[in-house]
Amino acid sequence: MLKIEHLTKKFGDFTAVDDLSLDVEAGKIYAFIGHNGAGKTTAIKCAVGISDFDNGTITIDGKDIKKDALACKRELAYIPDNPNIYEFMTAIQYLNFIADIFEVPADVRSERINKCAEMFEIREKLAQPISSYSHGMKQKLVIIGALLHNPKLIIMDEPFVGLDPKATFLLKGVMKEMCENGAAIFFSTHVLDVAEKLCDMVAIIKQGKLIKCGTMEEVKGDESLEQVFLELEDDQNA
Amino acid sequence: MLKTLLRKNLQEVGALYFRDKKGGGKRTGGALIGMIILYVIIFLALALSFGGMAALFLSAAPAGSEWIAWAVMGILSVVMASVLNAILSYVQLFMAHDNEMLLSMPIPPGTLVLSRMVSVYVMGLVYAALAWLPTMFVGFVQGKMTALLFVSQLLMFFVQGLLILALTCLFGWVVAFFATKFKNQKIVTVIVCLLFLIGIYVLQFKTNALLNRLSENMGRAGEVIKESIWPFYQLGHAACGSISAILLFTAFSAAILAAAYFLVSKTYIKMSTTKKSGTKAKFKEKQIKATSANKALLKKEATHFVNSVTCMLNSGLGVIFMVAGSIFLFIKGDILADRIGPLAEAIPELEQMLPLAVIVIVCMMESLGTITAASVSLEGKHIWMLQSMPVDPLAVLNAKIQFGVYLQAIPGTILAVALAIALGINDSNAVLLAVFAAFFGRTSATLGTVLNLKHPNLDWTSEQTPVKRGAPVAFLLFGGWIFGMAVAVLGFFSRNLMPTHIFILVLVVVLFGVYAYSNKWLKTKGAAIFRYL
Repeated sequence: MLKIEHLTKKFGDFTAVDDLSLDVEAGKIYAFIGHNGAGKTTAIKCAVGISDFDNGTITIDGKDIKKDALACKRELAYIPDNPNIYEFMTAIQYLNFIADIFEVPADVRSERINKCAEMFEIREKLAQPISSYSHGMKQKLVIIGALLHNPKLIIMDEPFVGLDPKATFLLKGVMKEMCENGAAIFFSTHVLDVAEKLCDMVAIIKQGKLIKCGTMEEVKGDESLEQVFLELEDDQNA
Repeated sequence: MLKTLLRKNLQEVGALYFRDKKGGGKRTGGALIGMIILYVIIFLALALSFGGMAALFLSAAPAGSEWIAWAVMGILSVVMASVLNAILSYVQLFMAHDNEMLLSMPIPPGTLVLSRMVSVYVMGLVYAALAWLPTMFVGFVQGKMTALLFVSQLLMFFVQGLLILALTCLFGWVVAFFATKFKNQKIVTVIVCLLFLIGIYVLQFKTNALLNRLSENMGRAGEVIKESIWPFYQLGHAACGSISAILLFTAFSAAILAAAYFLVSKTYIKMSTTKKSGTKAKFKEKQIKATSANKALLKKEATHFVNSVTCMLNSGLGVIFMVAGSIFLFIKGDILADRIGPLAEAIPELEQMLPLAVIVIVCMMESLGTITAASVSLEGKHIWMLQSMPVDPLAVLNAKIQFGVYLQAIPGTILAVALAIALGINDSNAVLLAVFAAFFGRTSATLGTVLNLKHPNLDWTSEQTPVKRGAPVAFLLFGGWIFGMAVAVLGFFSRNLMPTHIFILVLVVVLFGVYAYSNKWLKTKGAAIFRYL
């Protein structure tokens, strides 16, 4: 579903992402882990088509993100690390806006908004301005917005930050359900326990380079993901 | 502490003017020089008109009573700077995005207020300079300048900045006070600001009429100033070197400022953090409606505009003036016709000059609605949304332009028609003026988007930064004014070379050329820039 091949992104002389290759298959949850500043967010921004890159190719469902950006974006949903959304709108205006852009029919959007907003317990507050929302509520709203067009691929950058325990639990459930229905999920996280329990695949990145990737079993073996991650970090530093 | 906060303010301003927003590095020398030249041109163009006024008053003042001219220019300077700076003070003091973060730190509110007031003070000085510095220059040219006078006048320039700061801070506080008392803060804020601005404009309108009469009788003007507006009596004398007047005006300004500072700092936390809007609205199912992507983008622009006090007050005023002016002209246009009638007999060229006057008015009014020049920057930190969605960047930019057309071209065209009817301009010229107004608005909106794409600023802490301080906005606003005036001058001098309707037609063709070029640039380069901003 998402294929990244030899992705390289530079900022001047600094190489943020260096020859990164990944393949996220449909029906799989893929964790993307690495220390702060490793290049996770940069790679994710390239994958969703909001940041240009110097080398490599990124395809979504077989379409090139550079050559056919709009077709790619129709298939994906992006949840950034910070829910900076239109504070001048009410939550329902925001969701309607997203649904309009993705051309979700009125009856379908109505059903999905009601279902998701009910699930994340913000339905009663949908008419309120987003400026009155807490960080966690905004994060929930971004998640609901991402689910409206039933994407084939969801790319998330630290999706659990700011969510309360119940919302975290619900999001994990949504991720599993989406995968069961054939979608692919690619997300970055620092919560290694969650990644270990939730994901089928994992990629570890350091200083822009992929240092390990594969199925969860292949990567961690008999150890915990946390131990493997820390050992890899130490090995690289040695 | 204060030093740190001031450094932060300076860094923000520095980033705005001297940093390349895309690469993060310093702006290239060429771009920086171009920007400085642009600001100098704008300043000179505006200072020229005030210099003319100053020359008139300094010449008309009786010998030994030059203080009257200085007092009158002081009134103009303080009133104009207070008006232009008023909204800034409210937004800068009470609505900055980093207020809550800074208030959570061990910073005394008074220190935070002081650091914000310094920014407002500097902007007030910039506006006051438009009237006061040209007056000093005229005094120098007329041989009325000595070293003592120069020092006194320069000192009074900085002191009147304190008075402007005090007045604008008090205004900002009043707006914030009303905003915290009512549920719908934004509407209350806009209404209070509009009432204030309308009041000031009415005052300024009357002042202009009064000034014309005063220039004929400066002696009487002096008496009025002395009796009714004592501070400016002192300011006039201070500018003429009176030490006692310098001390009195400084003491007066400092006292007003101290009172304003005390009031603002004592109530700052409450005023800047109280939010009452929309806390009890409940969701109803009927609020879910579908529309096309293009309409959704346009609606988004409109929603942003009507929910932003900064945008409404900076770009919505022109719309109000144009709509109100048009209604007035349609209803009471005969008043204008009655006044123009006798002039037509005295000035044979009036018929050719009236369309030019309409062009100047339309350019000035439409240029007030320059929202597109800030529309890309206003996306700020949520630009990722439009970039990650399946929507053509060109469609996003077109929605911005279309909204700009609603604010500029449509009311501008109606105003042009209303003016043409009221002034009795013949049918062919009236139609051409309407076409000109429509094209000017569309071209201005398109050019604004182009300029903002070339000079975006997505890292602001207050919407005031891109809307009021951005170079694209300044260029489009003052550029529109200068264009209007330049066209009028050109039209006047070429009146014997070509008929008026041909001249307007040429203007329309020129505008169309600029519009077509800008549009092509947006399609080929602009959309690509927006995609990865």
